[in-house]
This record gives sequence, structure tokens and C-alpha cells, in this order.
Amino acid sequence: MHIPDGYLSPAVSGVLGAASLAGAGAAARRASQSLEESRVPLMGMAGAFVFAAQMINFPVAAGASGHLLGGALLAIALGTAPAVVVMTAILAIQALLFQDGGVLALGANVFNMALAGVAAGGWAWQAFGSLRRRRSAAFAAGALSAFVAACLALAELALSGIRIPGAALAAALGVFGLTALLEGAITAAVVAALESVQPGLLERAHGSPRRALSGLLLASLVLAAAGFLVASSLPDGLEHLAESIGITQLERTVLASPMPDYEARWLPSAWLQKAGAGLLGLVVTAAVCWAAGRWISRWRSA
Amino acid sequence: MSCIVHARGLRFSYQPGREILRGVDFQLHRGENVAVFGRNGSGKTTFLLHLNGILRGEGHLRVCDLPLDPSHLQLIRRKIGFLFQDPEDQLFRPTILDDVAFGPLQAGLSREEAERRARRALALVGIEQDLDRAPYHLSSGEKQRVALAGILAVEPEVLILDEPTTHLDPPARRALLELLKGLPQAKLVVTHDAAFARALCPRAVFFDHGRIVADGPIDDIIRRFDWDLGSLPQTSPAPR
Amino acid sequence: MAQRLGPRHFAFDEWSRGSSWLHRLDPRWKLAATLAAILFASLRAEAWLTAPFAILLALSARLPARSIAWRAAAVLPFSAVFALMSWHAGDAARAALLLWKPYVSALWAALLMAVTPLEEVLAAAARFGAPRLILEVMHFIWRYLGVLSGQAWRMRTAAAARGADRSFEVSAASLAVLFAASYQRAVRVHRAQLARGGGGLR
Repeated sequence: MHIPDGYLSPAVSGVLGAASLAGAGAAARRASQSLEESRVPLMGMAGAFVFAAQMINFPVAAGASGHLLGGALLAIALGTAPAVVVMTAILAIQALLFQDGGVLALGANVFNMALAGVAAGGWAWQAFGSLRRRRSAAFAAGALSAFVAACLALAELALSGIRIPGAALAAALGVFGLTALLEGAITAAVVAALESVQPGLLERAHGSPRRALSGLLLASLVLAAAGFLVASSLPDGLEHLAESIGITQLERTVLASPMPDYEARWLPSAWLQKAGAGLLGLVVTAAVCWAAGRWISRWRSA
Repeated sequence: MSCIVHARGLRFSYQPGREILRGVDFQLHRGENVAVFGRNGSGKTTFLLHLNGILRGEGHLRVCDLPLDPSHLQLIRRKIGFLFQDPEDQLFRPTILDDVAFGPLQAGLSREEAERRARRALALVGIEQDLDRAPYHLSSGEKQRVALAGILAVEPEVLILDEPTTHLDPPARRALLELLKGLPQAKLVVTHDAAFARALCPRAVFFDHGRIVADGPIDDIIRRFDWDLGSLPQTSPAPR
Repeated sequence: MAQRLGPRHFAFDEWSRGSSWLHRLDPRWKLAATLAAILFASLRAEAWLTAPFAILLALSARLPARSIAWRAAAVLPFSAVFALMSWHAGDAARAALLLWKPYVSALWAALLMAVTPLEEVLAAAARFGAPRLILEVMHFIWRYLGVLSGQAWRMRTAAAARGADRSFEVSAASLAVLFAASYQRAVRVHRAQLARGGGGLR
């Protein structure tokens, strides 16, 4: 889901923008170091492929059809860092030349799809792909990447005060689930087909799997996504949690935006306010984990 | 006559056990036009990719009297102009002028000089308008001419053309023929288009399973390997 | 958003190569000004006034202002859904925000791309410190988008002609073939670059 401009609050945008800058920059550095020059055309072509692939329809049921989203397939084919770079490039092209997703919102969209989505897909592939069940691993990668990205987007919208009535929320989650299943199925089918069309094409992609750290990232992101769901159903529990770790203070300062568009009408219901606070905390935690993970691994390999 | 390409016993495999080139012997002299025939997969393109160092095999190979080692590659790649089969793969800069100027810029020339050379090369191939437009919307023939200009802009001594008439309609094919006939460089033309080859090249070599098995006057080669449809009888009217 | 890529998507390539005063401005100024305008739109309600200003700029650059305004409207369907939910919940002001903010932002982005060729925007972004690898990949994507989409469309048509376009397996096989073809093309492009002295020595 590409978030347009004007939806996210400055706080959410700011945090995600900073995290994206750090994450995409780190991925670009990592990809540049380990790439031969020949990889640049390959990455570009993979990006163009994702666009082209969206024109191939995958029938779902009764006339409905979907198409490839691509984050997981990129991670599988190119490795995680190059996939982050390609996905970021795709999102930037979409924002500038297709008016799909906002320009300022690139921070959030890159975080959701190019960082979290790709990391989730890459992690699933590396965690399960070494076993004989590559098709299942590809399915898990696709499903997880789509689901995480979509849930994060929805969480960010809710946190920014966008009204989403309960029925629409349930419907959205249902759609995300189906989209995730479809993405998993498409990714698995394409990986299987690729191995027969050109065996060995996918072998070269594996970088060094930093499972522990990637798992940590994934856990924190799933937590962030789940946090939203939990927050919507257990307001009191979260309030206790928020108080005990001092987030209520944070809520008062960060969420009381000085911007006229966002004051007063902000998160009118009390429980949503607390949920929002909790979620912001989790997202910040996730970003910190990501940055820490990068730092630690760079320090380790230095 | 000086020898521009000298290959002896050239061998190459992409993977162990699958030899594509099994000992190629070949010489090319300055200004010669040679057609390269052979079935698909016989090693023609693989051999040619050795001449500018993109592939590296074993055996003896000297191009313009230089060995194919990293210190000479940049120079060799200017001397050997390689026109790939699909011009789409060769035009990657945003405008026509930019693309043709790419080679001279890589050679270290200034922006102005590179553009001057580019314009000259483009004039040579007959493209003089809309140089600031993207090359993507041109016809196949025009794209190919832009790609050719990009190669001519660095003043090569050898032109290698990989199946140049594949995407061309007859008028474009004729135009390319006239253009090539007017260029002084030695030419190696991989093609299945026997008529085109005959009109341009007096000499031909025939590849078979990774080796050159015949080398001589083009008419002899075409006749010997039955490489031309021209010898078939006219279609007879359908039976009643 | 999946859509058939046609010549209209490459209109920016045409529009951006004009020669008006706006086209000739330094791309860094244009990029910075666009970002400032979009930021302004996200923060202040008065920013909706910048929309007619953007249209005026487009006209002064001798661009088809109506096409550009229409392009930017691509964001509206998505926005309409959320605006409707806000309006339904009684928050009419928010609903209005959700309609005009994304539109104004998209309008400025479209204007930027209509007066500045993509590679100049990328070069300006490089001067501002964006990672070069990402920009190079963006350039490549844009270059080969049309080529690969054409291939995909032909595969889709061929499958339909054989009555096979309603099959999951066929679509997956098409994607695999497209991917393998893209990979081969990338190899060829790299070789073509090497052959002309670029792409790093190997």
C-alpha cells in the first residue's frame, strides 16, 4: 500500500524518514561494497522487471486477479541489501513519475516496503530456504513481506489520526491476509518456475545470513504490527504498560503537535491515544533495533 | 598488410566439461570484410566476445598486436567496435547525443570534444535531427544507426557486427549495407543473411562445434554448406 | 497500481525536454523548491493556494497544464476512500485535508518531472547527498521499464491467444521467463557497456 502525502503526522513521518534514510543508505553502502560492477544493470533490470511483472495477472477467484508485489522475490533473487536498494529505487520512481505514493511519504513507504517488507522476506528465505522445502520458504517469504508491509502502513495511518472505523479495519486486515497469501503463492510459483527455466539462477544470491540480527528486526517489526492490533483490543493493558515505561510523558509532548491541521482533532478517543503512544514506542524500538543491528554487524566485521 | 587479429588454438568453456570453443585459428587483416557463418550455438558470438576481452579463454590471441591483458583492455575496446544484435541493449543513455558521446567521454576527451565527435559520427550514419531526444522511440533501423555511431565515435579499426539485419526491414537493410560499404574499417559480420553477406564480404569463415572448419571466398563457402535459400526452385502453384 | 504501460506514461520524457525558462533553471533549485512546496502543503492549510500557482508555472513553461493536473489526480481514488471514512465519522475538515493535500503534493511532483528530465533530477539528488547506487538503479529502471513492459504485454497477449491467460501456472511461468530474459538482457547491457569502455574493467 503506497501512502500518499498528507496522511501521516509529522512525528510519524519524521521517525520513519530518519529510519529509512539510515536503512536505505546502509543497504546502498553494503550492496556497493560486495557488488561487482555488473550488478548495477542487473539490479536496474530487476527493478524494471517488477514493474513489467505487474502486468501479468494471477487469477484468484471469480474474475478477480492480483499481481506480484515483488519485495520477497527481489530479496530471494538478489540478496537482502541489493533488494532494499532496488525496492527503494522502485518506490522513488513510482512517487515521482507515476504519482503512486507521496514524495514526503517516501520515508514511510520505503520503511514499510523496502526495509521491513524486504527484510521480512529475506529473513524467511534464509531461515527456511536452506532446507529442501524451497517452495514453502518462498511462500513464507512472500506472505510475510506483504503482510508486514501492509500492517505497518495501516498502523502508521491509525497513529496519525486517520479515522478507520472498526468494520473497515477488519476488512482491511482481511484484505491484507488475502494479499499476503497471494503474494506468497505467486512468489513460490515463480521461484519454482525459475528453477526449471534456469536452474542455478537463484543460487548466487545468498549473502551472509545474519540470522540473529535479522530475526531481531523481524521480531520487533512483527511486534510493531501486532502492537496495533493488540492496542485496539486491550486499551487498559497498554495504558499500564505505557505508564510503567514512561511513554505517557512522550505521548503528551510528541503527540501534541503545534501544527494547526493536527491539533484538537487528533486522536479524539482516549484508548486510541494510548494505543498510538504504544505503537509509536514500538516503532521507535524497531528503528533502534535496526540501527543497532547495523552498527553491531559493521563493528563485528571491521 | 598488417595483421589486426591473430588467434591460434583458442579454447573456451562457460562451465567445465562444456567446451564452446575447441581451438579456433583465425587471422584478420586491415580493411578486410569477413562474413562469419555457422549454426546457432557453434561458437561464433563466443569467439567474437574474446576479441575485446569480454570473455577470456586459453590459447594465443593478439588484437592490434596487443595481448588481451587488463592494461590494454581500454585501448583494445576502442579499437574493436562491437555492435550487438539488439540495439536496445546498447543504448542506455538518456539522449541520442549523450549515448554516442559516451565512448569518447570514457576515452578521456572533454565534453565539447566528445560531443563534436558524436555529432560527426551521427552525421556519418545519417542521423542529424532531434539529438536531444531519447533514443527509445526510434525505429529499429534508426536505433541501430545510433548504436553504430556510438562505436564509430571512438574511431575503431575493426567493426564486429552480430547479426545486424535481424530487426531490419528491406529498405533499412539496404541502407545499412550502403553505409557499411563506405566505411574503411575491417569488418567481421556474423549473419544468417547470405545475400547481405555476399554483397559486403568477399571472404567468409564457417564455424562448426567450436572450430572454424572452412575459410575462403564467400561463394565457395555458401555453396559448400548450402547456406542460401536462393538455390531452391520457385514455389509451384497449388495442385488442383 | 498495476496498469498497462503505454506512451502516456513516458510523457514526462517529452515534456521535460522543452526549452522554457523553467526548463532551463538549475535542477537543484527546482528540486529544492518542489520539496519545499510539498513540505509546506503537508504542514499548513493555506498551502492549497499553491495549486493554482503550480498550474500557472506549468502554463508559463508552455506545458499542457491540463494533462499535468490530470496526472496528479491519480491519487484521488485512494484518497476518496479515506476521506469518505472521515466524513462519515463526522470529521469533514479532515476529509477535505485528505483530498487536497495528496493532490497538491502530486501536482508539484508532476510539475518538477515535467520541467526537469529524470537524469537531471537524479544528478541534483546526488549533489544533495542521496546514495549514488540508488540513483543509478533508478536511471536503469526508467530506461528499461518500457522495454520489459512491452515484452510482458506480448507474453500476456500470446497466452491469451492460446486461451491460457486464466491460469496461475501459466502466469508464474511467464514471470519466470520474463525474469530469466531480464537477467540475460542485463548481462548483454553490461557487456555492451564494457565493449565501449565503461562499466568497470574486468
